[in-house]
Amino acid sequence: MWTTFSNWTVMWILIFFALGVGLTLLVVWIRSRQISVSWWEWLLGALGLVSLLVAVQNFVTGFAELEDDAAWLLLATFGVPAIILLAVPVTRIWRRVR
Amino acid sequence: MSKWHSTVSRRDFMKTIGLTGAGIGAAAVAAPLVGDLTELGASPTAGYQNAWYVKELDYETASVEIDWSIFQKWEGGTDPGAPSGSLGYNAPEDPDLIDSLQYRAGVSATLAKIQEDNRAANKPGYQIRDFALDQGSQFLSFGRGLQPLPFTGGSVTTPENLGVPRWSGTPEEATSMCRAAAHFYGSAKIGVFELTENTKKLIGSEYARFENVSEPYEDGRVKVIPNSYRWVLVYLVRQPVEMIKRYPSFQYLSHNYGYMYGPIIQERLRRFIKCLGYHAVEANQSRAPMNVGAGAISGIGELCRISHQLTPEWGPIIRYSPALITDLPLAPTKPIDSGAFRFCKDCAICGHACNGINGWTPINLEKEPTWEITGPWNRVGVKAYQFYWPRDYFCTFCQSSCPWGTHNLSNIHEMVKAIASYTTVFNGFFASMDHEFGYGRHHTDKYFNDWWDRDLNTWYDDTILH
Repeated sequence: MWTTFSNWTVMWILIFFALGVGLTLLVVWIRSRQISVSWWEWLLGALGLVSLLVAVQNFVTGFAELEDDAAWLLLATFGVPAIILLAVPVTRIWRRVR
Repeated sequence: MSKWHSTVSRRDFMKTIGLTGAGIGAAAVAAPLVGDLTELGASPTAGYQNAWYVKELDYETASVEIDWSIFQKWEGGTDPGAPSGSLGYNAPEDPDLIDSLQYRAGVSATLAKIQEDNRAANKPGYQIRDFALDQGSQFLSFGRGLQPLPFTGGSVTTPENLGVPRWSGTPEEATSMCRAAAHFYGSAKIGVFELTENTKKLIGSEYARFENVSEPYEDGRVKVIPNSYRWVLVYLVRQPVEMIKRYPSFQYLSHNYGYMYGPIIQERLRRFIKCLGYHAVEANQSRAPMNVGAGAISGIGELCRISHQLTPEWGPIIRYSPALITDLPLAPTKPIDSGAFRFCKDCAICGHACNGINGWTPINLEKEPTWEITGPWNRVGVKAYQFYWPRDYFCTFCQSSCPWGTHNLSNIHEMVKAIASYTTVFNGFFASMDHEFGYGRHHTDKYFNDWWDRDLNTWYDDTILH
């Protein structure tokens, strides 16, 4: 049980560390380019990120639960909305940068 | 001179540090404030907290409606778990009962043939290694192989023997202490209720009665318990989640696990309490008090559609929750409502799964629970989905089909449970999705073979404490 705990814990520590670094770099980059990001774009991005994390968590653990079909379906259920939610602010910011 | 320079100003950096520190401080303040560890240990729920979405109810209630004024105890021969011959029901005059018993015998024969045919064909799940796994797991099940003990338990060294006073503390401390000990002994969760005129009805008269005596004794089959033994310590005995889903293969082993641990945990707890200087007896491993009712009244789980106990953590995939009756003053634990019984209303996957496999389910498929019983094997005084026990084959297809009976790794399960605890609006949708997403039984050759190659560094389901 401790091995399981440590495996999941290590995985999530790495994910959140990468997220922390990535978000910090994103904020620094937005400020340096003086890009205007509205509050609802931040909100959509946050929701998309949460949905992506939920998709990843359920996908990985679905296989651990021996529920392979559910793992793939949950990846799609939360992953597709995550992509859509993230695509809106990303494309809008991308157009502003260009 | 270095051409590299940071785009983060000193001001921004200090602002970030400050925000981080403020966040940590806010988290510390938001955590439950406890004066000291003694205060923490004094709570009857100390050491184990239900999930945040589980609500507590008043004592002597449950998430099902109970009318104590008409609630009846089992009176000899109406035990639903007993063989059909002792049902105390005039079978020759009840064609439905005769048909059901014959049907049950037919199902039993069909499933036995499936086992025999698959064993002859050497199919995965029915091979000699699977059969050997089953045979090994039966050792000590129901206490077979253990030395018989009186219902008062074996002898222990008491405080009197040691010349020290017996343990004393508040009832809350006692409950917390018993919880900690029970967990070490193998019980993931305990509950406590006090014996009152109402709750004594959970104990059938053919198993036990209470008298003004100083010592317990046996009157034939009936255990006579002193009135001073006023508290019931209910301890949950779990079972591996995965192996309950593999019936009728020989990898169906969870029940053996549970019934092995039950008597062992019981005697360990009984010795623990006796060594503290108190007394603890069992009247019958699962019948006195009836373990499902005891679990529901003490907050371990809720009654569900299959007339089993459904826990918020493991669904109905638990083995049972027997109890010890003791004179150690304990703080009762409150019954719970996690939305599970309300979910049963819109779900009924258990009944449809049973119908799909056995063809004539004993599970009530009506949307609403009822006070109307189907026979003397149902409890009068509980508004429930009345189960037609004579047709029950004890196969656990229902348990393994329940949406609440899952491994608890994917957070989708907690999301569904949390939402279901607060609103019933999505229950039908969740039940449909459970089916569409393929949860439940997967009896393929790969499924049975993969168990033998599971990663033992990460596999968590071979124990009942996780």
